[in-house]
Amino acid sequence: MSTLTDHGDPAAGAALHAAFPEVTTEACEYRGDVTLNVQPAHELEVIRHARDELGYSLLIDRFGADRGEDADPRFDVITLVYNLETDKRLTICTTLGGAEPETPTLIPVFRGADWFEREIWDMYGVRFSGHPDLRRILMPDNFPAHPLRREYPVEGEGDYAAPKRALGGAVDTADGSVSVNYTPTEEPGSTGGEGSE
Amino acid sequence: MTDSDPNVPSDVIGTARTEPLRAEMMLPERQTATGLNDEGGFFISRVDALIDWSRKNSLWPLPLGLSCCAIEFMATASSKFDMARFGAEVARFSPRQADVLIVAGTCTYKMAEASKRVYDQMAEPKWVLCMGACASSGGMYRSYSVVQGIDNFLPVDFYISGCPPRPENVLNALMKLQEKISRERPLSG
Repeated sequence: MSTLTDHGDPAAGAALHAAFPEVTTEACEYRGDVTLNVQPAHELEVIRHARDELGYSLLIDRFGADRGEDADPRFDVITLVYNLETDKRLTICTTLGGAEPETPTLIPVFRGADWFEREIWDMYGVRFSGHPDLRRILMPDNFPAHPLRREYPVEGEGDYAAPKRALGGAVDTADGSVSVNYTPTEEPGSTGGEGSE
Repeated sequence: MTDSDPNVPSDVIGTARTEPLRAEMMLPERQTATGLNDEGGFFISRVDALIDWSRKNSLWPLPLGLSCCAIEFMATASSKFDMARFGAEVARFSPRQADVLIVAGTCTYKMAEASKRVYDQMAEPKWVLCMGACASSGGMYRSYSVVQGIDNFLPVDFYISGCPPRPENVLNALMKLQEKISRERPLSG
C-alpha cells in the first residue's frame, strides 16, 4: 500500500536517466518524489520514453514556475506523469531561459497537455511551439500581462488595478499611496501580549 | 372590509394581506382583493399599479451562480426558505425569460464579459441583485483577476451583504426589490 511519502519510484528515475544520460540530470528524490531535470529540446522524447517503456501512461499535470526576475534561467515547466500499474509518479522538469521562453508542446505525446500549456502561457508567458490553439485560458483575451510572473503585483496594474481601499483608518492620498493609521484595539479580557505595556 | 364581503372568507384573506394590496391598487373602500364589491364585478385602479403588482409578484430570476453564493441561493430557492412565497421560484437559465439577474459570487474579468452579455440579452424591464461580498466589492479577492464590484459594468438595484449571505438576507433583498418595483410608474413615467 502506498503512503504519502513513497509515491515515487527511484528505480524508474534511474532507468530514465540511464536511457538519456547526456540530456538528463540524475534523478533526485525528495520526500518520496522522484524528479528528473531534462534539457528542453529533449523533453518530448524523454517523456515519450517514460510513457512507452516505463509505463507512465497518465499525464497528471503540467505547470510552470518562475524563479524570479534575476534568475537565469528563469522559468521551469514541470510535468507530472503517473504509472497506473505501480501507482507511482514521476516529475520531469525542464528549465527555460530568456524573457520570452519557448519550448515544444507536449501534445504529440499527451493530448491532454493542451489546456495545461494554455494555462502556463497565460500565467507565465511561456510559448509552446507547435501548440494548435495557444490562447489564454483564464484571463480575458486582451489581458496585457502574464500575472503569475514575480514582478506582476497581485492587486493588478493599469486597467486591472484594484482601487486603494480604506482599511482601519487608512486614508487614500492624492499620489495614490495609502497612509495607514491603524492602531489595533486590545480585546477585552486579553492578558496582554505583543504590543501591550 | 373583508368581513363584510360575502365572497371572501375572512380566514383565507386576512387583513394583513388585503390592506397593503388595497393601498397599492388604490381600491375603493368597499372592494377587496377579488375585485368584487357589493354591487358586482369591477374595480378601479391605475394601470401603472396593476402592472407593478403583476411584475413584482412574478419575478423570474436568472441565478448567475459564480461561486459559493450560488449554494446559498439554492437554499433560498428550495423548500425551507421557499422563494416561491414571493412568486420568484421560477429560476430561468435563459436571459430571454428572466427579469432579475442575481449575480451570486466572485466575478472574474473573464466572466464579466459573459455576465454583461447575459444582462444585455435580458428583456426590459430588468433588475440586478448583487449577492455577497465578492460581487459587491471583490470581497477578499483584491486581485488582478477579480472585478472589484459588478457595479463596474452592471446597474445594481440591491446589494446583499454577507459571505455568503444568509437566505433570509436574499429574501430581504427580494422584498426590497418588490417595494422598489411597486413604486415604479411604467406608463405614466
